Amino acid sequence: MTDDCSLCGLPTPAQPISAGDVDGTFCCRGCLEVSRAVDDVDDVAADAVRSRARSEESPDADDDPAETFLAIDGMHCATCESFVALRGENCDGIAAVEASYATDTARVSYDPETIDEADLPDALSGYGYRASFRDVGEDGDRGRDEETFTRLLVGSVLGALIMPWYVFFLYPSYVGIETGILSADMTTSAGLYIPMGIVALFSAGVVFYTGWPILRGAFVSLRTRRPNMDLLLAIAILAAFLYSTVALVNANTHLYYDVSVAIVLVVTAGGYYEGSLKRQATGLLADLTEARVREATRRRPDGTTETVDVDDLEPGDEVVVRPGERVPVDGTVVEGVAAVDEQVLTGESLPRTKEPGDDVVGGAVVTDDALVVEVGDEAASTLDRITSMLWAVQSDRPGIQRFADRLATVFVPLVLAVGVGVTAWRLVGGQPVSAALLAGLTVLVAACPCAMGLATPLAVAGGLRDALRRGLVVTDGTLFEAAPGVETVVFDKTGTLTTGEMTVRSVVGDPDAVSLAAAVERQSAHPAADAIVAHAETDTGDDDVTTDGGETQRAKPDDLGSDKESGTDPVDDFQRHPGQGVSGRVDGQRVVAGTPELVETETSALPESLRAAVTEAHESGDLPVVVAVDGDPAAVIVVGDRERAAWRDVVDAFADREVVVLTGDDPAAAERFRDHATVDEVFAGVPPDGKVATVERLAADGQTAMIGDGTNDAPALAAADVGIAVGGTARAAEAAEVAIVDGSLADVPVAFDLAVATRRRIRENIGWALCYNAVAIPLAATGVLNPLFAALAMAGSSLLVVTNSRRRLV
Amino acid sequence: MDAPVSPLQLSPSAVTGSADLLVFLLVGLFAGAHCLGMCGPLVSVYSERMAQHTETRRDDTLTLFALRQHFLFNLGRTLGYATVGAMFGLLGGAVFTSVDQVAPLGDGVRGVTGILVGLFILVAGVSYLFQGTHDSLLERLPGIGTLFGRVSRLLTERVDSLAGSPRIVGLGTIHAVLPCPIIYPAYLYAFAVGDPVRGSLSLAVLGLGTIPALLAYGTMLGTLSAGKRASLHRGLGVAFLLLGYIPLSHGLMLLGVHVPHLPLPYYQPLA
Repeated sequence: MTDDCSLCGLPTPAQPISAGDVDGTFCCRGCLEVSRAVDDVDDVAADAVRSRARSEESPDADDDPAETFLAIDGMHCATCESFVALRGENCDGIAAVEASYATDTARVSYDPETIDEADLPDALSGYGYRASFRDVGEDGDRGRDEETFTRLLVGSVLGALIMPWYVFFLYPSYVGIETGILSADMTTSAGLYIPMGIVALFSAGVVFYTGWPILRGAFVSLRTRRPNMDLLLAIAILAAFLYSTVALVNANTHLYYDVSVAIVLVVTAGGYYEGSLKRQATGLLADLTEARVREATRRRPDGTTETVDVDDLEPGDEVVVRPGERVPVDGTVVEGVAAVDEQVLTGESLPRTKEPGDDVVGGAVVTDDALVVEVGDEAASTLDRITSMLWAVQSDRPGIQRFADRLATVFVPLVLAVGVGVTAWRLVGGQPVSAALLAGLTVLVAACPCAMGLATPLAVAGGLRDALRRGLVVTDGTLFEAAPGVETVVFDKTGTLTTGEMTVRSVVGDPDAVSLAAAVERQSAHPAADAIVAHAETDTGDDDVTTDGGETQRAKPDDLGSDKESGTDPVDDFQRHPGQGVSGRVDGQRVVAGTPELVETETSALPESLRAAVTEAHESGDLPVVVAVDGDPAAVIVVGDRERAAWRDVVDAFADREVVVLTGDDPAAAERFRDHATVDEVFAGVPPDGKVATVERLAADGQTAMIGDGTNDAPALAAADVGIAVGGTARAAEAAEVAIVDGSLADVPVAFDLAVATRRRIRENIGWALCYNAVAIPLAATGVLNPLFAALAMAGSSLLVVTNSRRRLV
Repeated sequence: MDAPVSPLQLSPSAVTGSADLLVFLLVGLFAGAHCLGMCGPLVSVYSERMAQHTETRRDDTLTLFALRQHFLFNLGRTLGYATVGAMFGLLGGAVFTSVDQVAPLGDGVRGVTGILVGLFILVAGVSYLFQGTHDSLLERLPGIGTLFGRVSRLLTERVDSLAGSPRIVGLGTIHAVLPCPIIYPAYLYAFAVGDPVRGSLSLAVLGLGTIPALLAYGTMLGTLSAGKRASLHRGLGVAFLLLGYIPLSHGLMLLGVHVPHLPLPYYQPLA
């Protein structure tokens, strides 16, 4: 009987880890430490988070609902999420739907007896939303843009046919001017209805074809009873259209078709512009490495090998993994001893030596020697499990309500109230019903300018543009509204605060031994070997090393033996000691490089100074490589993960917020960060599940940002309110709101500054857009508004918004 | 057929006669910044409690329910101010009438009261203008600060039951008795005017002026930056100078000292 870890839900080991001052049992020390630190908060909140965060892991329901993840295209705000969920839950057999517009995902809990999994996409599709299955390693193609472009094109053509009538005839007529360019005798039926009828027809085309997405968004808003920007726009568009049609039928020349057409076209164009910038940005992410393995080399019982699909592997199969390849699925080593790099999955900076009997995780990289792995009981891959966890988190985290939608929630009732008030006032004043209604409608026409619909898209587009210029790819525009309020900043360690690459940190003892060690290590593909070789090549004070005048090349793992640079001492009698090190003869001298145990066995005991260096290296989480020359231990090369140069500055940039370092690596390796004054907490030894739970718990207390790089960080990046991927893998970039493509840590504060500036820009734009309302609504309420004034005010406010958005952000 | 004729006809006298109401509106609009500083935290607490009554997955979402609650809260506030303003006006009228009957110094008493009230408000205005924060002299008076703290603690205890129902109107009316360096001078003004109708109208207009800021804060804005708040406070200082000048000039006029004053017919229905 195994318990579940109180923090992350994974099974606890036979001897569950616990402590006196913390409630619960844990799977590892990392989870224990996190719980101890975070439990200091309000107990009520912690319980609520625990139950909320793991509600999917306790199927107490009588029927065991099945779950699947769908990709949903077409959601663009919080209201859409509610609508999709509402429709889904109305279907027989679907128990619950959780959707997130920010990540275009939905999680569906359903009863397999009542509804088939294959029917789920159809159940959720409709009203312009398209649902499909998510696939590991596949990103859906968002091909909505062509449709938008067509709508825009048709609308523009129709609009171009309508506007001359306004510009050259109607507007001047309101102020009593006759231009003579276009004219019609409005006093006769034919003179009025033929031209204006055509205008009405074309306007209908623009409103109902180009404006269809806006109208649909308004419908969704009404169905879920949550006002959003689309509703506000639709009210103005439809009021203008209705008023104009009624007025035309009554032979009135106050026609607001231009308002409806202008709003539709300008807002759609603005959205298209923002969309194209976003596509440009996400296109840059296409090249990021995908850590997924699709094929495996299976060893047949007779010893020969065959290449099969990973999905065809059965438990018990034996798979050969060569140096440089990824382990396809979780399993146990049956043959071979090699160093395995699990960094991308666990965050550990040092590779672990795996021997027969050791477990390996699917997705880990085998570095220096081949392994034969027996596929585990479930033929699953830890990598795929992380991906599922990522999807679960992504669909669980709803998108934030945009500022423009908040404004609409206040503005729609306000405008409706003013409209109704005006109608009532006039009815009370004794005016006929039709006149009173038209007056009320005029107020609705003044409700929303195209500037209001442009405010957010243009500001966000500016943010995307400026971010791209700096090498930041923003995949989710809600970043700009979420980032400014961040109170807690969580940093991953390996690969984020550190480079994730092994480098030589120090050399204790005889420095000449380094070049000898490098000569021998050149034959090995172990990451420590690469580090030593690279160090020796850049060490200009050493005669034995020849630089070839160009860039020093790191030996690639699968380039065994082919990377002999001219001038390097040749090595005789090269011998690999699996899991321990290498030895060989250089220039007549016998060189042994490897673990202290290997050197002591092969040569003699370590002197005190070297032994102290070894202990110190272990204590700071580094790997000591002992080098012996001709039977005497000569030096200790300390190899470890190097911090990025900018890390101190970046962490200090967040001094006014709470800074947390979260890592799957050894507590010893995280020590150097604990000492830094600005860092408030360090949690080490935390597995990916624990990372998610930690971030979720921190996010329950206040807005939390997470900065990470590896696939193991992906679910935590998705769980945070703001996720920033520093270079890294495709999964991490998919999970985060912004990806720093060149992997420069120093750009992290820039991302925050940009977000603050963009949010301010959004509010400025909306402020300018409201200037229109400040002018137009009083005019409409007092009955003085005419289409010319409306058009001028709308053009003025739109110009203000566009000009404001062109300014540089930061 | 042209657009219908505007039904709203504003006569010139109606505008000047309402000059002090316009000043009160101005005071209310600028005071929004101050209100955010003092009552903002309370409003945040109400918002939080309101959010717990809704089913949204994120609790920072604005819903129609929350909007309704905020609207009712501000309505309650305005009603509260108007009621207390009427009371002060009634009190002032009664005091002045009784003074008139007891001693022939009615005008003198009214004049002195007007001057004192006016000076008090002017000084408050000057401190806002030159300090730009809500750390006014009034608040530095001993007792006011702690009184505010005690009342607000009382409010936060009651909030849970009130924030989710229409009874939030009651919560708003309690705000009318919170020690507030904007409202209290206005109550004094109502006292000096001595007319319950005028008093309640002035306070109601003041309350209406503060609604945009508080409603915007409660529903939409996260925070107002310190810089913007400081400039709004300076505007408040100017508005207070205008406000304080009215009773001051009228008081001086009653004492026989004629200074330029706003063309308000000094409305005294009880005389």
